[in-house]
Amino acid sequence: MSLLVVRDLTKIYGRGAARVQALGGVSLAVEPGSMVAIMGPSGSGKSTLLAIAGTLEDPTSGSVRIADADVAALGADDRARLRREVIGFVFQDFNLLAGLTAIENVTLPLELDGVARGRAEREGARLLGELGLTEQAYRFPDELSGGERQRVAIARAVVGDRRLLLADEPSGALDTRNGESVMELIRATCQRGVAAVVVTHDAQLASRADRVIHLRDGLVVGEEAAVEPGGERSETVP
Amino acid sequence: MRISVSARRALTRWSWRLLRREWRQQSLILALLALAIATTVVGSAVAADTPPPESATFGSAQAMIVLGGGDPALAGTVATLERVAGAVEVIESKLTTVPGTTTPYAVRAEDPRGPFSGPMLTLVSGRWPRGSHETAMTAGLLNAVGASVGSWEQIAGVRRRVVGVVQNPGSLLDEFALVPPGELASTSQVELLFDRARSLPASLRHEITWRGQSSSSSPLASSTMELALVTLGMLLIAMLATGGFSVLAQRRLRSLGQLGALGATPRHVRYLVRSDGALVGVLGAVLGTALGLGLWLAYRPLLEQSSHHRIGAWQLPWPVVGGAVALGVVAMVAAASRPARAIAQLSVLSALSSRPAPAPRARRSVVAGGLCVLVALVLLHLAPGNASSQGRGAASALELVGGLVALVVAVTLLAPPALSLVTRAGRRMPIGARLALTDLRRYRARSGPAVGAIALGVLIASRVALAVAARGSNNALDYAGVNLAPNQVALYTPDGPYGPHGPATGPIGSTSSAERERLASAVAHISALLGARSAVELDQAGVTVVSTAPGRTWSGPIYVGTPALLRAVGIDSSTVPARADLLTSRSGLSSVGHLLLVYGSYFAQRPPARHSPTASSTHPCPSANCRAHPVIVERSQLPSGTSAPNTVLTEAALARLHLPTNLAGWWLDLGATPSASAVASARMVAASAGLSMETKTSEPTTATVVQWATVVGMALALAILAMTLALLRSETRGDRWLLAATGQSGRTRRVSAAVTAGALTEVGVVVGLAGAYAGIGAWFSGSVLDGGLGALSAPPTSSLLFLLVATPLLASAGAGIVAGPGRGTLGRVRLE
Repeated sequence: MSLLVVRDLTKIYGRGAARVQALGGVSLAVEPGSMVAIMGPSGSGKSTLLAIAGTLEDPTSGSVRIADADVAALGADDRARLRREVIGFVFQDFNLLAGLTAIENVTLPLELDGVARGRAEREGARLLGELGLTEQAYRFPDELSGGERQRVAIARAVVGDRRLLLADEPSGALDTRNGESVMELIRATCQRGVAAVVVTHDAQLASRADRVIHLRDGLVVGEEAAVEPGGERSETVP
Repeated sequence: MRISVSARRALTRWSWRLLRREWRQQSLILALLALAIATTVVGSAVAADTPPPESATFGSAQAMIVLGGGDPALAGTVATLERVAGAVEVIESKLTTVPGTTTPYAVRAEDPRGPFSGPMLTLVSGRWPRGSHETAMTAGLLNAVGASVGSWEQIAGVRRRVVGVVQNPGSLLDEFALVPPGELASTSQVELLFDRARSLPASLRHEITWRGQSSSSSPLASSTMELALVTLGMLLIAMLATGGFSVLAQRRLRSLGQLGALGATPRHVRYLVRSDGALVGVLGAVLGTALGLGLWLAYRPLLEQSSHHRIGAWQLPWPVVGGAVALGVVAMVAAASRPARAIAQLSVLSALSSRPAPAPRARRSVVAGGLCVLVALVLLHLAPGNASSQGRGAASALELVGGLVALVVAVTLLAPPALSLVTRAGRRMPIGARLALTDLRRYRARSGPAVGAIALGVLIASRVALAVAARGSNNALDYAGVNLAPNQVALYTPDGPYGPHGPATGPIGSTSSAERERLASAVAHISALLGARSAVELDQAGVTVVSTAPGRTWSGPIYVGTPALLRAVGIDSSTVPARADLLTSRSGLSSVGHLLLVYGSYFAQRPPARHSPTASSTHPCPSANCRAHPVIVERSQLPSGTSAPNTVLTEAALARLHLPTNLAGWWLDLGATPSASAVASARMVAASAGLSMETKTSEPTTATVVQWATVVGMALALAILAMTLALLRSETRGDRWLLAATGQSGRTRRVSAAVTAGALTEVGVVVGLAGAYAGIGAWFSGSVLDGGLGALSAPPTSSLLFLLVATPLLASAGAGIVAGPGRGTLGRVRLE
């Protein structure tokens, strides 16, 4: 069963002459353990799609179901709870909270959810250890390198058994080596059953996804399936 | 959904870390709060500890009854008290003045080993007086009369040898001469000290003053007033802090958006911003309390000297200190609440992209502000009426406080919309001014509270100025103000209004011609010493004025308007209407109704102390010693000092009422302010002649109070403005860089800064002044005794103009001068 199901999603900003259609009927389903990359030029609607899928924005029409819950039927508090328990975000510029150490950044969603500090800290330490950040756990974001910050952001996005990871240009602010490392990490996370939607400009990095969806002017203009070992991508054009 | 304990802890931890990282941005608010609390700690301690403690009057007793001198019921009262209360200590006193001055002191017959007088009496040097010809004096009195231990002095009609120096440790200002019990031939008053009694006769119950009664009975006790002042101060700081927290929340918008993306609810976001306010409040309160206590401990020894009694190191009004600390924290939380609400309403995406929260709607603010104005006007109109009604004092105090609070809220609500109105007018202005006004409108979340705070500061200061000016010139009955000008001196005979025999109301004595000549000779000597231009004789006829209307009593002596006195002040006696009874310089007195001119044996028949001030039936007006509705003519040439002959009885009235006159004193007009040594010499001559001399006191004049209020208002407005501009500049630094990059000239930058400062100040001053006028107008419209709205007919124009014109100009000039960093600085702005 799909963890994220998006049907006929449209999003229109503004009115009259200022009217802009960001999405024009996009449908998408993401299964647990799969990684979907979304590519497209600027203004194609990638980030809008991610924001709607992450309950940060309402669509003009269409529906979004996350973990079998109809997002349109949820209030602000229930959506916030969904973000705490199911959805994790990774942004291009890391968005770690200044003033909190790496481990405090990771455990914050758990603590907001009412988990006791000790338990949250153990969970955060475990995750950071898995990502090779044990030594950096008690450092502040401005004491970490870009790659380390993004790894902390990924740990925060999957902490507490979150199952849907939405990443907006996660390697955009990183050098090639760190970018590849971050994509590897997301890939590895998916292998533990997390569903991931990754917006990227980089075709090389997108090639690590199970599927690549191409957007242009708010419409899906192409979709590539996973590369089988020794084979080529199968391409579908709607 | 409630916020879990874990979430609260995590959010508070983050908030604390942010405060530690960004303390510089909050240092202004922290400093203001800490300073306000430190001032409260020191100020309230000084206010509470300066008055003498109750042990100064009660000793170790719990209760006291004060009886008049020579009361025939004294023995019976003492016997009754001894029966129900056990030990009773009797202290007899005779009030008198230091020869040659109006300085009072008491001759006290008191037992140093009495059951209750221990805390009131200590021997500094020498020994206690024993016989009828011995006395001990306080050091101040010894100095005033020029005596020393071992010398002989005339005390209460008896020549006594000074055998010791004594003091009242509870009040070193208490100047007295101590004689053994029973050694006073006549007494002015008798104090009976005793402990709590099981049951007291009803006849005595209302005569008793209980320990602690005077400090707690007043609805406007000093601690209440202090807390009211602290509340006003905190309100001002909170308004400023609102702007500060708004800027800070705007800076943290991306982080707050990220928090939302992590699953924080709007409630979490509100909690985070409010906890920032609470932490600033707690930190400011801790710093302020520590600073205040440090200052207090350093100042305490000086206060002990100036207040003339011992003060414990921790003898502080803790409820006031605690109240100030609590108010400080609450004010900061309240200040952070508005930006907290605004930020929490933003969508996560808007926050992530740092889009500012929309400014609050002006219309809602106008409606709420208008309602508050109405409430304030009604309450302030009703308050003075109730103040003069018997038993309605508490209601009046509530109406007054309620009205003032409503007025303050109204001004703070109406100031931001008024600013919006002004900024709309700037659409056709040159680019510099237009940019400034556009910024004020765009950043209304910051500029709104600031203009409200300026308005509030001006409201407080101008209200004081207007009230003082109006009252000073219009309270015609209970006349207030300074006693004399520096170049005026009054000399009183023993029968004069401030002589040892007290004010002459009723039958007056008669000074023999020989005595008159002797006194006149002394006056001539004094005139020469002081360089007097003229010395006019003051005569009295034993008349005074009684108001039958509740709430006001007459104060001040009434002399006879002799041709010499009138000529001395520039009035031609032929121009005085024959029907006039009184001439006065008190503005509005001629239109005050319900007045009686009383004389002769009026008070002998109806002692003033037993009068009920409210019932007109208690003010009969027998033709033998009273004239109802006297004809009063106002003449501005008469002097206006409270001790000066500001009101005189006409010679025509004197003839009509067949009143005898007697010498009361002399009125000396000096060419210039006399030197201290001349005054001291004159005082000695006066003392030797049996005259009392009065000179100018240090009480501030109405003009001084108005000037200070104006300066304080202006300083407040400019200080608030400086802080606001700093906030606005930090908010718009990106825009400033952009403008510099597009070639904005230094001149445009200066114009822009000057217009910002000028507009904020002008709007704040106008709204504040309008609020002050509305409040004062409502008060006086309900106070007929204060002259109604006519009291506002002579406003302190120069002070108001100074606030209205000079303050915005100064603000503009200052902002223009410091505006516009050079290229290097703009480069730094970009780097930030």
